[in-house]
Amino acid sequence: MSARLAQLARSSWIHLAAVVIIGLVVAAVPIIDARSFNLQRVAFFVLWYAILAGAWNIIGGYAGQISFGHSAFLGMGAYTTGILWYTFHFDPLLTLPVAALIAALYSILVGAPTLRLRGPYFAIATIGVGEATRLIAVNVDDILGIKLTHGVTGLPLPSYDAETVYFATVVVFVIAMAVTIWIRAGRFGLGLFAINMDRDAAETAGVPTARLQVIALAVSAFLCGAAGSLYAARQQYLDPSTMFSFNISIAIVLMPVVGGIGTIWGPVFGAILYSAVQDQITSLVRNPFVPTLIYGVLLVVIVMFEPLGIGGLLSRLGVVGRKLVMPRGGDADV
Amino acid sequence: MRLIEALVSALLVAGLYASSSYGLALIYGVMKIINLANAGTMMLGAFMTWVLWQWIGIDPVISVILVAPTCFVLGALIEILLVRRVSGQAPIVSLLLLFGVWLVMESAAYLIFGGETRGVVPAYSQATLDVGGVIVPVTRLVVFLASIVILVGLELFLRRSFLGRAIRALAQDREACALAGIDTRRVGTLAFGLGTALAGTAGALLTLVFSFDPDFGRVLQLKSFTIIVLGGLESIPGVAFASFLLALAENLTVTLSKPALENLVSFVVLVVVLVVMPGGLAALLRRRRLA
Repeated sequence: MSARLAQLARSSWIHLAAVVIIGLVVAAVPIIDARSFNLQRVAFFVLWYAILAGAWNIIGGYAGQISFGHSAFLGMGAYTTGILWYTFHFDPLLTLPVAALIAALYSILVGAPTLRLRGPYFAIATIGVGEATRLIAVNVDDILGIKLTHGVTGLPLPSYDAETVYFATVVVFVIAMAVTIWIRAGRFGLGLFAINMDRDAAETAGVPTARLQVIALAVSAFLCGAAGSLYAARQQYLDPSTMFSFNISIAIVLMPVVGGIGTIWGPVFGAILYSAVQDQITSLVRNPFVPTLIYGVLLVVIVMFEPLGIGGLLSRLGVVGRKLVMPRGGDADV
Repeated sequence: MRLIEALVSALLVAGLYASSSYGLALIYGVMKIINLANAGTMMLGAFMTWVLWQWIGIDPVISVILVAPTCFVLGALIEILLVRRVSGQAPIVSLLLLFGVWLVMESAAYLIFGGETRGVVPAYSQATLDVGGVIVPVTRLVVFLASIVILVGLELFLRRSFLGRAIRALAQDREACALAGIDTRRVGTLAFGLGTALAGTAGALLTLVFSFDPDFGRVLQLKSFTIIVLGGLESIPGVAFASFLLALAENLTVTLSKPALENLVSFVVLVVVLVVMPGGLAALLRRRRLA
């Protein structure tokens, strides 16, 4: 196993270098052309979606526990920042770690009981978690006499420098990618893959399955919470039925699955495709349901024919190496 | 008096929940697959009923005669073309696959019918009956009676007919069925078709009670999960009983606190039941009997 870890560690440096280069390139967008608001907006959302997709991939792709409730963690992060900013006048970007931490704590709270469930049961329980969180956010807006979520009316926020948020997003993206690469290369990641392949066998082999899954979900929620915080800082308005919506949870599932579940770059491919479809097709046909139709068809096709998603497709076309898109770096020796 | 009122209203809502959960329970029992497309089929059944009512003026109850067979064929096709091909893989794969099917159904309906809310309003939609001092809407009573008819019919079919017994045998032990000479693939297809037909039927009946749009069935779908988990995942009477319990719990919540929290009940029950008693009520009863 140690030889295996050493091999994974070597390939991790290459992935990490690629992430840093991408980070530097996208960070240059506002510097090169300060008026490129549109490009900046597109880049922000690609990065933002990639953070969410990569975060989901840790629990959904690596550990194989599909969550349909990740909007809960996103919303937790967004609302933590929103409330601290609006009610207590903290600087939103300074609240980002707090927001991420609150989302992670919440995930431990809901994950500890639900992660004892297997496969499809966990998936269904997360639908419940997502919906319950949304209902609580809409209905319980008044704790200890302080107006918190402002219920259905939403939370209006002051404006904040979009460029600063953009740079922060680039940093969070690089951190999120580094975390997914680092997890994959270590014993933690191997444990998650073992759970994914056979939970009982992993348990028998001494993998602390329950603890690893809860930690994986917490890390995933931490990154989602950070993404939520960034969204709050940029969008200046939080609406519970959007932030906690099932639709966002669906998007967070779709991107990594379509891009290539369990792989490092799959979530990024998925995020690029999702943003492109969202942006281009929606403006082209002016019907918000055409993209959903496309995602549905894509999901069916990918599950049936190319489980490695866009990554697998690219490697078939010879654009990228097969090794790059395999979940465990194209190995047979685990 | 208020207790009787609460019980009657819970019973009526239970009929509604039960009819939308039978299909899910049947498919889970036989295929061990959670049919995330259940809500999509219900929505489809509702829209077919709406079209029939709008164009030819067919009553929703009668339209079941057309909706159920159509949905049966649809379900059988989904099983043959999609679900069967991923049957050897992890359960998550079929879950994602059927989730994709649901997305396709929903967005297709949005493209065809648009997003506005629709309703089917037959002449008796406002009529009420006085049942032992409790005022009951006729439409809810119709849905309740239909759910009883489906319950009895389904139980008779599963217990008396050869195919029904084969379906139950498949739910218990797939390999033993194959050894006993049952065509497991064919029975699986039929069960999936039947489950889909039940979902379509539920959709048709529920047009009497609810107005609907292409997103119809999502909240009900979550409740159905709670119900089949609570009912023990495979038992049809268990579904009926669990529907009643959930309806009662919701009714009490609404009476005791905010009405908006009604939908929260099922999710809390779902998580608690999944974690505390994964076998549902059926397993709980079995344990008692053994002890």
